[in-house]
Amino acid sequence: MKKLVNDKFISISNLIFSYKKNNLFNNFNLSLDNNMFTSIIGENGSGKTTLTKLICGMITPNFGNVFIENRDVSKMNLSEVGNIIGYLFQNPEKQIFGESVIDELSFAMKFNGISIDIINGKVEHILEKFDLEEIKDQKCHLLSHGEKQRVALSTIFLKNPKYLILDEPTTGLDVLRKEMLYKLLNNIKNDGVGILMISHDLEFVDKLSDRIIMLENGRVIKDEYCS
Amino acid sequence: MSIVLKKENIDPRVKIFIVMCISTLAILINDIKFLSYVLSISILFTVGFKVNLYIVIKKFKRLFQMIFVIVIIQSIFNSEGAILISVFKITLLTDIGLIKGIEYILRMLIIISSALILSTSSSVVLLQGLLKCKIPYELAFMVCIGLRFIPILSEEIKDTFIAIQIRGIDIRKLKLKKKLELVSITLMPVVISTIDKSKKLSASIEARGFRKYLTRTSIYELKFSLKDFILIFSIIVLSSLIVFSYFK
Repeated sequence: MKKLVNDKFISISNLIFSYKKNNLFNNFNLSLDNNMFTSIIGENGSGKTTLTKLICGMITPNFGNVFIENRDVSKMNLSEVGNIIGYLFQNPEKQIFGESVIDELSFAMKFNGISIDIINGKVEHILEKFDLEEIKDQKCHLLSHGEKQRVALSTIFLKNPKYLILDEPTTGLDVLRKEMLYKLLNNIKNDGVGILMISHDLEFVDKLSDRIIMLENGRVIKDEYCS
Repeated sequence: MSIVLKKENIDPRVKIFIVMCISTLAILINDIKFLSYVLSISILFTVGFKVNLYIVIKKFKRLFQMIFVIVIIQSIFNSEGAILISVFKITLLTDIGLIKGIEYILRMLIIISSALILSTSSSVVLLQGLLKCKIPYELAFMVCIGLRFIPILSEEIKDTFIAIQIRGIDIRKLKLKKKLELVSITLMPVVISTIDKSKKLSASIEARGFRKYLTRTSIYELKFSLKDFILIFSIIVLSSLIVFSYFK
């Protein structure tokens, strides 16, 4: 197959994916820029989460390719993808493994053999950036949903990802927490990190997005750039 | 509102009986030839019950790898019999070790393939089958709930390992000590989340009045058909043939 070479950060070409016998994506094509906040909206079962999982290589397509920086995802390890793209699961509990917040922040670095001094420096910086100083010694399982989400998001930032994928980050957040998340994502966006967000919260989407994609049964039915 | 429960082709009691016969044979027999016969019968029934073996093999790939590693270790630590492979006077493999290893593989395959027969029945129908076999309701219900938790647990473990890797940890490159440490750390949230799910489930069951009445009725009544009797007869004949030939 001819390798797709373009300036897009993420390119999806001729993707076919089916769940059991249901064809979800049929010849699906999409390109995503790095310096843009893109939101995907659509009803339940339209393929939003599946699409992000296909982008990261968590699931394999039946046919077609996904390229990240012109590298074929099917030829990359999940850990390699994880070093380029930060993925926030819908349920942050899925990606929290440390006992306390500090343990959680240093979790991946410890396993990657990074020295304690570097870990401490990075953790301190992230604690400050994500306003986690107050809860740094708290047990992760005792945190509220919003706090867990902030911790999960902060662990992603320890790797300085070039791109972020957020799966329904506003779910279960109250108005105050949502406002905090908005400010945080706005800062990340201004730092030049590309973001792909799945959300049902249209107001939140409208406030942040540069591009809004609407999915229906695995098809893009609307793709608009916001002014 | 009407509730429609799809009537199943084969009575679950027949499936339970077949699984019991096949797994008992797998435990009783210690011979490669006879175990192969039992495996063939088990696969025959599994395919007959429309289990997609290709998907099963794909799903259990890791388990099969683990079984293979156990067999190698078991064969290496068995010093009985004639030496087949040795390095610097250290016995690595003997003929008896090899035979026991093959028997172990066959036995595991029989148990896995026969247990798959039960997966072709829904938990509601299976529960009815167990009740008709005079298993106490609480116990039968527990078995069915337990079966329901297997795919949840497997999905949780899969998701956990995806979440670890997407955080930039290449599990394959980790040293064994680190790998074991990682497994012990990551399995804890899986266990906690499963316990949490089971707690919620038990609260929900209680809220719906579980065991409020002593007698429990069902909209689905089990009845043996001719097909069921033929299946019972055939498994009895096949099992008897194997038992008599083996103990002859």
